[in-house]
Amino acid sequence: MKKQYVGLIAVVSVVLSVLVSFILYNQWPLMTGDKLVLATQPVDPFDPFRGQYMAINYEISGLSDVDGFETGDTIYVSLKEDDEGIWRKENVSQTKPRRGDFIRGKVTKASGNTARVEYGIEQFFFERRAQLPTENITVEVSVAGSGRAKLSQMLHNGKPIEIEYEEFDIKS
Amino acid sequence: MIDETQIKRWLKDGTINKSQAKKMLADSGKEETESKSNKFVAIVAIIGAVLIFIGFAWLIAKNWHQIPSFIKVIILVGSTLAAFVSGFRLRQKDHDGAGRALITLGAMLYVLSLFLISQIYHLATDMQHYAWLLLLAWTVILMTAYFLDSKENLVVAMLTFFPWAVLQYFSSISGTGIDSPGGPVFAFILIFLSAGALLFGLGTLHNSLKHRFTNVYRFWTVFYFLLIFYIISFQSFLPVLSEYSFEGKAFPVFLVLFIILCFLGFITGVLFAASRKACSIKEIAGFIGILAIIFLLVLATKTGEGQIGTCYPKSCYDFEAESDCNAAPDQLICEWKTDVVPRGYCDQQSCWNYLAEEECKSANPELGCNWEEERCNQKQSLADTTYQICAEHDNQKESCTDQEICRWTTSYGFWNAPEGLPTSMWLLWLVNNVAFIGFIVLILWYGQRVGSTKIVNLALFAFIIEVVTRYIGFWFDFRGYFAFGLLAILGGLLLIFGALFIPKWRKKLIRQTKQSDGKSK
Repeated sequence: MKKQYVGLIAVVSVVLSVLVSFILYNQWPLMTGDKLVLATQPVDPFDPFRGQYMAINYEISGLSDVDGFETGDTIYVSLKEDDEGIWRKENVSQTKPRRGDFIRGKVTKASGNTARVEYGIEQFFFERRAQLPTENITVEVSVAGSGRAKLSQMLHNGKPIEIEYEEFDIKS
Repeated sequence: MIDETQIKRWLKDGTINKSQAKKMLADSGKEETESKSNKFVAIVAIIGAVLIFIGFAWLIAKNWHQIPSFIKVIILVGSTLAAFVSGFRLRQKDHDGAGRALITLGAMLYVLSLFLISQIYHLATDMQHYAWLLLLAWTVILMTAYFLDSKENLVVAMLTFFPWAVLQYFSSISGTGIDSPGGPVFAFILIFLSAGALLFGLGTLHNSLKHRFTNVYRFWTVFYFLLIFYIISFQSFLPVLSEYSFEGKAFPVFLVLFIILCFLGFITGVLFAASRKACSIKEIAGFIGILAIIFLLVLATKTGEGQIGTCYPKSCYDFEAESDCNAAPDQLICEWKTDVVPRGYCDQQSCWNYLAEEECKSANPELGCNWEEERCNQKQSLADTTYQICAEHDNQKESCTDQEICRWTTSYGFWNAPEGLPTSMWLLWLVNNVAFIGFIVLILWYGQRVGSTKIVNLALFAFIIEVVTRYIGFWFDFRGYFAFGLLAILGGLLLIFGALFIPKWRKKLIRQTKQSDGKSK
């Protein structure tokens, strides 16, 4: 093989492996995880780099009665399904629970016995100017064995959300 | 390249005859035209690449639902790889300009692919996530620059490196409860200086290896330091810089590692170059001197600390814990509420909240509530009173922070400081501008010494920017008809002078630089 092609092959391999690994890393919880439904309080801002999205505040985003946590700590929230099929907080711990369903988050603000937690599932991207309901929204997430969660779909009144897209127009 | 003067000199000396001189002049002209044409093609092709990048970026931002996610990924990843491969092939076939542009397009599409994938998986929009994306971006693009010998990709890598460093820093300190901007300001200065040292080290390292990226690193080192001097040449930035402090929370592990790695890069580059005798002690000493001067100029801002700023009243929202809210100064009349946000928040009491006459009359007397026309009115806005108390301490940080109800914010402008900067800081501002001009002259000399027309052009551009900026600054300072008239005349004279002499000066410098470049070759 000509020496000059080595550089090109190296570039193609590295670019491809970084992008494929990035995809697989994010796909993993969706392929292997358990599906849980969480309660939300959504709003919708715009990200200049990635377009329109809905910022989702979960019921488990603001936790009360949690002691001993500091900003930056990892938190494991054990969840239990209620009669309506919504998974709600049962208890919290600093270590990974041995059994049961749980989700892993990061404490972004701790104040007294309350904590603000992010799970990496706080945004849902959708096409610009598309219409979607913002009330009675729940979110189905897939949670891997490690507790890492990925948003799999949004639900409206318990059913997959129906987004009304703007009709395609060459001038849009 | 041989220039006309040199050929004429050889003809006069008798080194060459008339026909040889004629042929050489013709060849030299042809070579120059060809080189200019190649540069033009490369510039046009790069603009084309940037346009394609923008087009793809808009399509991603649009988040088109008509295209399934996996097709979007295939399109973007496929076009990234196609751009790299076709760019490589075109360069092999002597279409250097178009080939370079496509390789750069590949780098930019790779960045877009990262953003697209994070959009598809609804990944976070916080600073840390963007820092991760930019880290993945600049490291891989830097690698492509070396593997494919692409100066343009090196520039793209550097353009993504600096936002990464800044984002990663701010992400590292977010949520640590830093109260004043002093710590981050000082950390920011350290990030700037360390990255500048790394660039210089890489420049000397590449020079000692006679690598073709040498001038790219040199150019960016110069650009970087010109930018730092330009920033400190503004009056508005000096009060902000003066707030620097050594607050521990502002120095996370990332910052410490960043500084260590940058200086390791600097030391390695310099030692390697010195061992190969590819860089003089004077050059290294000169660079360390510039670093020290900038550092001292920043440290010197402390002399005017706390003399330009606004004294605001604290807000009840500043108290995030229930205990802090309950212990807030009485004048602020804060109370802990749980009506809107379940975890609670600290809010100022208000007469408007009392709907019954009895509640209104028994309210805190500090509020001055008055029941009239079936509602509870407030006689005077509490905010007005506290604002008045604190405003008396504007431009006096120490007495402002002594007030229990006030907080200090350093100003960028001088709207509440009619006398402008304190004398010590004004003198420092003069020194900074003199240092900036001195640095520009030094860079003109350096550009000629290393034979880089780009560095000379950059220094000339910095000189023009400095003159224009100071001119606009003076215009702001000397308001009124007389000053306006005077400055307009002065500005006109400067422009005419500039139009007459700057192009001549530039041509002369560029000619001398090209000659020294020819000699060095």
